[in-house]
Amino acid sequence: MSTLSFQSLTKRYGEVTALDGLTAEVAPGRITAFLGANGSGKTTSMRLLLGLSRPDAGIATIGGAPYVDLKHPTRKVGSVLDQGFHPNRSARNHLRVLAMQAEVPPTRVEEVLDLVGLTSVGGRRVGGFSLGMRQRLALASALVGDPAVLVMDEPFNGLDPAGIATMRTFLRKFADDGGTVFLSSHLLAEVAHSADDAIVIHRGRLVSAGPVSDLSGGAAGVVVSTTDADLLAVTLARRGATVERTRAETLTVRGLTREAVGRAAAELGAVVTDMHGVEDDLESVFADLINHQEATS
Amino acid sequence: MIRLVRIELFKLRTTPALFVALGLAFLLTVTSVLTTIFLAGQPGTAPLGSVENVSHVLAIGVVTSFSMLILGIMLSAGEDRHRTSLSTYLAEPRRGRVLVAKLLTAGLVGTVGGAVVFGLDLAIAVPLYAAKGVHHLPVDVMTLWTGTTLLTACFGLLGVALGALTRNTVAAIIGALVWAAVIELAVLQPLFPSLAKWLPTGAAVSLTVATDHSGMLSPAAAALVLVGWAAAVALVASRITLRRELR
Repeated sequence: MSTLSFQSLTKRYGEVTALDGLTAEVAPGRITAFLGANGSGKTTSMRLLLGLSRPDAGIATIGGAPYVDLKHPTRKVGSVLDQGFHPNRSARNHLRVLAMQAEVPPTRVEEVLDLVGLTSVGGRRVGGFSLGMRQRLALASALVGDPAVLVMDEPFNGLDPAGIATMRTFLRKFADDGGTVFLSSHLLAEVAHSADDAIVIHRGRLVSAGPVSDLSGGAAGVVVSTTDADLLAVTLARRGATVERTRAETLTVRGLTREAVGRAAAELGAVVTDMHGVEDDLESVFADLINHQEATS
Repeated sequence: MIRLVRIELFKLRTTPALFVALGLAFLLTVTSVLTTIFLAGQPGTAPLGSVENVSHVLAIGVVTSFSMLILGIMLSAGEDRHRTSLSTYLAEPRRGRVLVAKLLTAGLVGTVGGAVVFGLDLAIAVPLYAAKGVHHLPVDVMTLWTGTTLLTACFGLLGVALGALTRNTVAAIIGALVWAAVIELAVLQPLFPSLAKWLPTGAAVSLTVATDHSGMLSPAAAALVLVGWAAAVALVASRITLRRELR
């Protein structure tokens, strides 16, 4: 079982601090999403974890050891970063190179080609592959060493809906079998579907870490439609709610229960035409977390 | 290390670069031999079978060495160009070992390629000379063969080292050509010949000259100088470039 650990990880590029004391853990048997806006430090963190960059302070470890100290690292960690492919080399030969590097039998190449559905095009030059086929080849590349850890930067990019579903199923099984999955993605809806845990960073700092269900459950709201939206909005705001006018007659209310909103409407004599609770999607939770971080920093 | 060299050889075998470089070297060699022999004795050319004529026929080191230089550059900087270096360093995080494996691979391919192309040159030239009544070549063929082989291997090493230093195939190739043609041959050799013989192109000339070595390094010294240059550039690359962040 391999836990990924970031301990006070700091990385600077000149005057710019890309990562500022990041401390977080990624547990085995779970899918952990790594979320943050562009330039927040996700890719830097992954590169530091994989020994491709050197931290200015702190340490990143895999099962207690830095990546560079692992024996046969690609047999322990499979990664999907922005690795390239030689355009004139066939997919099968690309994987053969990786199999030789990992010192695994050549039969493993056929297994992973089959796993990602590329057997029929294994002999074709990678230069002719579509983005989706390249993404599947990248996954096959990560799996050649039969690792227990997958580190993936934007694995859903370029995949069609069927490919996304296949990837999701595969990652779920990988984690359920005890593997560690650590993936970054900007497709928050996809993350909400796939991930068990989420680590959110902003400007190189940790914003939040924990189960995805905790993240999205904590910011639920009430959507209410009424003929007297202006008056109700003022009243609810006075009672401490955060009110957002989402349509002419519709308010999204945070900070009060559905019952409290209903009572307030009844007291005003406002006609309520619709009211329902809403679980915030990860996108708005993410935005709230980032806004909160901006406000407090 | 043997495993890493085998991987580099496999990488070479599975892209067209090796075959293009060898094919080009073969083609240029055949063309050079045929034209030099069939045009011998024409106005402005040396007589057939003379030292100058035979030296020209066997002077294929220029072709093989530059083919191998470019192949060496592609072996190292080509990985950065196609971003396959990321996979390579993820599998072998000790980047210095990867560089050494690439140097050994280029040395090996250069040795075999240089020897085989020279052998082809000889295999075409000897029967043609014989058919034209020249049965003895007035140069030390074995010394030239060894020199061409060493030169090709050394330029392979230089190519890998230059590629590792620049991490850019185009910059490395253009830089190497400008250095050889302009800085060394056009400027330093005429002005400072005693200095120029210690530089890569000067040492290369010493390895492929058929007869008079006066004012030049001996073939053995020239080979050592070339290996030294490759080692120096590779060392600088390992100290500076390989420690940089991967792009």
